[in-house]
Amino acid sequence: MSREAVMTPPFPSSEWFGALAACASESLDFERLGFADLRLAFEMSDAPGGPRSFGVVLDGYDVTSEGELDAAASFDADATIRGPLATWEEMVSNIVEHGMADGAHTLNALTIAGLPLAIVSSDPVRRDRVYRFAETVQQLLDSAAGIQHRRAQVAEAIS
Amino acid sequence: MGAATIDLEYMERASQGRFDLGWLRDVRSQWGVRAKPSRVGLTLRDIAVGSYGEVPDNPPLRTMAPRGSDIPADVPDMGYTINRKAEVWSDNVMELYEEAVSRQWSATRDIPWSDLPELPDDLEHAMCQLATVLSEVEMVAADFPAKWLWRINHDFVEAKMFLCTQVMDEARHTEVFRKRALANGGGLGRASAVVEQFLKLILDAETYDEGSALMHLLGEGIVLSLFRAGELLSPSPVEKKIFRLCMQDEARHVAYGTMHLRYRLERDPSMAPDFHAYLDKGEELISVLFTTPEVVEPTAILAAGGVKQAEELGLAAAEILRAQVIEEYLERCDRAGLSRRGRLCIPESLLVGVSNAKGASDGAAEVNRVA
Repeated sequence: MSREAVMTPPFPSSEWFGALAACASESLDFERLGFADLRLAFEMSDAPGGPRSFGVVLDGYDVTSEGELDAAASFDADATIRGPLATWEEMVSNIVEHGMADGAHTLNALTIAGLPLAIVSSDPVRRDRVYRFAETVQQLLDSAAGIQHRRAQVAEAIS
Repeated sequence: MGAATIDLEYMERASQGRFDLGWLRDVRSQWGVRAKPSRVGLTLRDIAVGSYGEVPDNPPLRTMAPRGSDIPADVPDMGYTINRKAEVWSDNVMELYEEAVSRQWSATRDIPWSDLPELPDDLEHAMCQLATVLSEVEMVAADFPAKWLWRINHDFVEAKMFLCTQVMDEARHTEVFRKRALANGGGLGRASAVVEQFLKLILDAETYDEGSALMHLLGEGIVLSLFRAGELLSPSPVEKKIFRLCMQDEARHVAYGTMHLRYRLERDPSMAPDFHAYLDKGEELISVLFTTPEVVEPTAILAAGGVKQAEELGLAAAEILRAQVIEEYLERCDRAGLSRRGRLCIPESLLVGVSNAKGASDGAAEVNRVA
């Protein structure tokens, strides 16, 4: 197996969000939570070179990554989770370290005061969809803990 | 209505194989309709096809006959009092029903109760007091729809079904917070007269309009924010999961309330003053919650990590929460087409940190930002 195959893709990148969606899709817990309907954009507002956004779609029992968004408007997100890159990186590191977000790093904890992350939407009813699928979204993010393990398994199966 | 009688002659004919078959020959309902399942299964939206999908604004009958069926003339009147679609409908009610059914959870099975850690006494007390308040308030959101369900015309069955899911959701919330209070050595705390006065306002509402505005929009919007705060302040992953799961349910109810009010006002804008009056009354009463020790202090103690720390920090966390609660409530009112900005019945001193509470709504402000 190649070394590249088992390396976790860099965060943030389309590959990373793709791997996240793939991990979540394979989780039995994810399906047991029930179906969801949410278009969510994750935005690193101060990324070098300008803000970067990545789209994820929860559709029924499926979760798909739309990759990096060239134009956030065309994605038509229900809501955008926006904040500094360092906060996103800290959240992902925390999830990988603990297997799931600890109390200070759940999406709700990071967004409730509008800082350091904010849930942004032009429509409060669409914004509230993030709350309607809160546990599913958290499970999605907690799937980051399994990305490396899954890639290693895939690589082993291929080799 | 004539008394139902046993038709002995029919029994005789049928026993000889001479069936009536009127129900088969004289069908006026649509034959050949085949609703197609979507990706998640056969949803209410999928079966809203042809005439079956047409929900009348003013149904001519008050029977329990399924909408779209053939209805004999002697089917009894059920005495429904809510017979205008706009009184209960919202454009998202079908999807909310399906979502509710799909996302049911069990307070017995899905909460890892055995993982509850031992907590310092003050944190356990605070958690149990918060659980007591929530167990106290949640059941009203089952009692209120239950009080009105049997009065709602059966042609609005999708709305009735959604309200049934809300009854079940709230039963589970009452259950899960009662269980949390009793699961870790703390037990139930103190009930609150102020809290119950607001619950009584909802239960005593003279119309569904009034009660829905007070409960779905105002009360549950506040509880949704309280659930979000509870998730942040929870001392362990067990409570965090409880609050996230409850949050999901509550957000559905708020989504119904917001879009129902919008639907109502779009069809009858002249009702806006009535809804303002309902919310004037509700806001005045609910403001008192922000100065009720049984509600405010547990959250402050959980946020600070103990009584001593909370005494040093004061109500900083509670103030952030309060601003968040009011801001989101105002945004939902805007969305419903009933701007409360400029006429909130909440004292100025409680509006610190709320953006544009007194001004006109621009209607397109980015949301979830605390000034």
